[in-house]
Amino acid sequence: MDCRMGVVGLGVMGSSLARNIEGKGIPVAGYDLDPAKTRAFIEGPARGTAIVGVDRPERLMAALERPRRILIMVPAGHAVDSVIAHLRPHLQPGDILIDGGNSLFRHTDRRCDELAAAGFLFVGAGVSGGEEGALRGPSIMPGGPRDAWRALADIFRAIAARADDGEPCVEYMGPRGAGHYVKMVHNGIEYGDMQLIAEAYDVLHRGAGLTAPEIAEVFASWNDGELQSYLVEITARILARVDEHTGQPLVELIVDEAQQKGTGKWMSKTAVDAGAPVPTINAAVEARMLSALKTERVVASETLGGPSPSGAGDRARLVAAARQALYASKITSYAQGMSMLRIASEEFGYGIDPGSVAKIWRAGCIIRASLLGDIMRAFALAPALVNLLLDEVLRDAVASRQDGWRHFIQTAIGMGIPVAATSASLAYYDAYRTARLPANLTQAQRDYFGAHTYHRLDRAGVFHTKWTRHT
Amino acid sequence: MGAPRADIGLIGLAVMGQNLVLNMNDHGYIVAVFNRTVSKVDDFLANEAKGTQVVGTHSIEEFCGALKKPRRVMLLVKAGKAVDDFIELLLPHLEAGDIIIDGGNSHFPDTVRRTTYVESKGLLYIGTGVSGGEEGARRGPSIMPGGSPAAWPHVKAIFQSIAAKTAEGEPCCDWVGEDGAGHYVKMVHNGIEYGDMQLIGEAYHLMKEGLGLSNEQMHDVFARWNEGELDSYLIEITRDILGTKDEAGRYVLDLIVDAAGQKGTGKWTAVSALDMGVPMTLVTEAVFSRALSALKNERVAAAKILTGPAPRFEGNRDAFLDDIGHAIYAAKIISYAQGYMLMREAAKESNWHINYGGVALMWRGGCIIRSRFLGKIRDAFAENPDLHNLLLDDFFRSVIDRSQASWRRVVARAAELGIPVPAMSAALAFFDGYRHAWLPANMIQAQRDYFGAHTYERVDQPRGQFFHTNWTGRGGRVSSTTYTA
Repeated sequence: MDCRMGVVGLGVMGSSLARNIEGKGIPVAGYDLDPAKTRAFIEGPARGTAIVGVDRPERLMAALERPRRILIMVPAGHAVDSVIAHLRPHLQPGDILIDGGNSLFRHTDRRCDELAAAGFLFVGAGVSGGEEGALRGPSIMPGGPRDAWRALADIFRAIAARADDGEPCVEYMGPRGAGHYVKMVHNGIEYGDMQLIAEAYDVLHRGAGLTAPEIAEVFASWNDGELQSYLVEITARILARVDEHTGQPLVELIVDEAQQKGTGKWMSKTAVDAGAPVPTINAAVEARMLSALKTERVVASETLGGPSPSGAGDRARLVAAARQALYASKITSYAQGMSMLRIASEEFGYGIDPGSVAKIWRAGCIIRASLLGDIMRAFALAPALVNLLLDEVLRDAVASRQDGWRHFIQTAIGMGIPVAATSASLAYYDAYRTARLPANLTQAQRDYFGAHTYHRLDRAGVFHTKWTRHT
Repeated sequence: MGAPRADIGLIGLAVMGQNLVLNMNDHGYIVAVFNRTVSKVDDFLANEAKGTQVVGTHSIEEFCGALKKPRRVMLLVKAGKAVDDFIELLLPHLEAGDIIIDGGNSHFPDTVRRTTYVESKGLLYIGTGVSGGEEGARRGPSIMPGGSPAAWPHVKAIFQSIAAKTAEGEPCCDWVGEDGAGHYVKMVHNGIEYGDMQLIGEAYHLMKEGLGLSNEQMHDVFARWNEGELDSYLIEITRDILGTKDEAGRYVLDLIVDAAGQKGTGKWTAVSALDMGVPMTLVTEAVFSRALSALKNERVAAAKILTGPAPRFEGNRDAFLDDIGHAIYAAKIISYAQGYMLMREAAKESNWHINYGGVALMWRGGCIIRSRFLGKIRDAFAENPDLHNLLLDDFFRSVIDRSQASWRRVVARAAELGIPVPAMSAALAFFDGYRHAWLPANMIQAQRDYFGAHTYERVDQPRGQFFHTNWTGRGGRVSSTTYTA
């Protein structure tokens, strides 16, 4: 047989991707280590398609043309290693394994190296878009050996989402873990976007006293403008949804404890290690942690005083300010994320091209947004752009929204509504545009107590001062 | 060679090691010393240790032979491989019951590993944080020991005698907990130090750019603050720094490049907090602020291009200065509350029995974050050893009550003036989040369920029941197990 691709792991993502591939006329085989899952898939969602179900690794190998292309869709972590170990005895040199899960880029580095030593090609591919994207066209961020990319490009291009200009949302990201690194940054940005939206929702809801259907209309109208994006669009739909049992807005019946599975934390930890400032994204990660302390919050709410949102804010002004704050913060957050790509290229030798990244995030993935078109254009204009905020269009977009941005934060502070990510964005913007920050004092303190020395503005070299005690 | 007579041995004669040896000697202990570069031993005996009882040794064998049993060997060498190397060198010369003590800035997982390893050889191990810099090591540091509990009675007298003392004469040293607990607490100390320094930096920025104060004026403000509730080592040295001039009569502070360095322990705290799921928002903001300050060239370029409001404050300046002081104090309470949340979570995870009031006492003197404030934290734990969160203590709650309006004014004003105050503002957002029973995380859960079928819980159904909504009307009947976002 001559299937061009095998999919291992027939969960939500794996089965949707298999159907997507088959739908493009590409012969594909599906295999799950649990034969019952394979059977359920073949007899269920894959019924009537040409997808070949197999029940043993030997049969999978026999079903595939060579070099074999095998897409692994299992949970990140041990499962990836055990699937690799399961398949490995049956592989032949030159065969290609693709990990399409959310693996940590360092793990992908290791797997690439280990498999390369045995003559196999290993690709770590970020896949974003959720179930719907997997089925109809995700954004795909593959990294690994370039030879493997050449053997995969036509299939990936066929199944990927397409941007408005018809370009497929897949590009080669770089060697080893580059693809999964880009996916991690994507997810970090997604965390930032979601938290910024939640803060806007909170201020409109508790601050301006708008009802869920009213806020749904606000988000729907924003989705027609510069904020057009998948997340704003689904936020409008979520807010409009009425619970069939109670007749209330469904969103208000959902417990306010945000879960997280790890990629946001990885982004924060990687940024901390690398010394890369990503305060907006980190604030989003930490806000989810705080939300998860629901029991503690309930106790604290009975004891800790402070202003309560009045619901009596100037609605029109606050709605306008929320829109400006959301867009300015979003640009600032993407600026932080794109800087992470540059730093990774320096630190891990990934050589990631931020313009290509923006290009393939324009459709298919969770963070798809019209802003990504502007970002792509910014990097096309200046491939070495150090920070997105320095692009003329984006700079003006932020500058012209500053008043609303600052007003939104001030209002939230006055009402006691936490807007951690929006505030962190503004602080990043204000610090980034400050030539002289108070870090000279930090350096002086470190020199005072630890003789850490400092640099001077007026002379080269390293200095230590015997500081005068004033008692 | 006569009978062994040294009470304790110390390896590693860099500044910290030398000062600790002299401190122990001052307190009547006989200390044997050894150094990898052996000539340093003789240098030390001929100079700094001249006229003391310090016993110089020139080999590991001689060193171990000079120690009374159980032998107490303290390492003050560079964190990392050097510690492991010395443990290997020492093991053949030590016997059951002897104690190896690592007094360097080791990362706690290393200390966990070493405790297990050394105990497997029948010996005891201590990893101890030592804070206070050179000066502290010589005159009384804060000492935070953890490791094999059986080792504590053998080092308690020495450690407590050389440690800093509070005004009431209590030593700033007590047993912290099992294996890596001592180094963990030292790491949290350093993280909190990052937060404290960042808050002071933000206050300085507001005064300098917002209020246009001179160094002399700011010196006076910090001097005044140091007489009140903000009384602390870091406020005190900030006062001194603002008053220090060079030979040419120029303020040294104004000549220092505003790119902050960092060595790692602040980062470790941030990473550990992220691992534990504890929002240490001031530490992460402080780490990111230092990172952003280090992008000096980028900032200089950006400053010419990016616009913002003029940072000139208009209004009642004295009142605003008072507000800044209150904002520091309130934000500091949040920072320490977060630090305690982190220690509690780490203790749960690692099965440590941390003495929380003791930690406040250890930090009360000798270390970089020492302050009057820590006495209050200690009181809070003395009154209620099970205190779940510092913010719920009556004293701290009342401080926040009376500081809150000032704190909000400062953060709001900073946003208007275009002066970044990320730590003050993160602290306020944490407070406002923590004190609200409801947060907009329901929206995040709805979004995750929408795009990833991650499911959610409902407020009107028992917890632990998970629901999925088919938001789009297409596909999506199964909830997700493999897709993570």
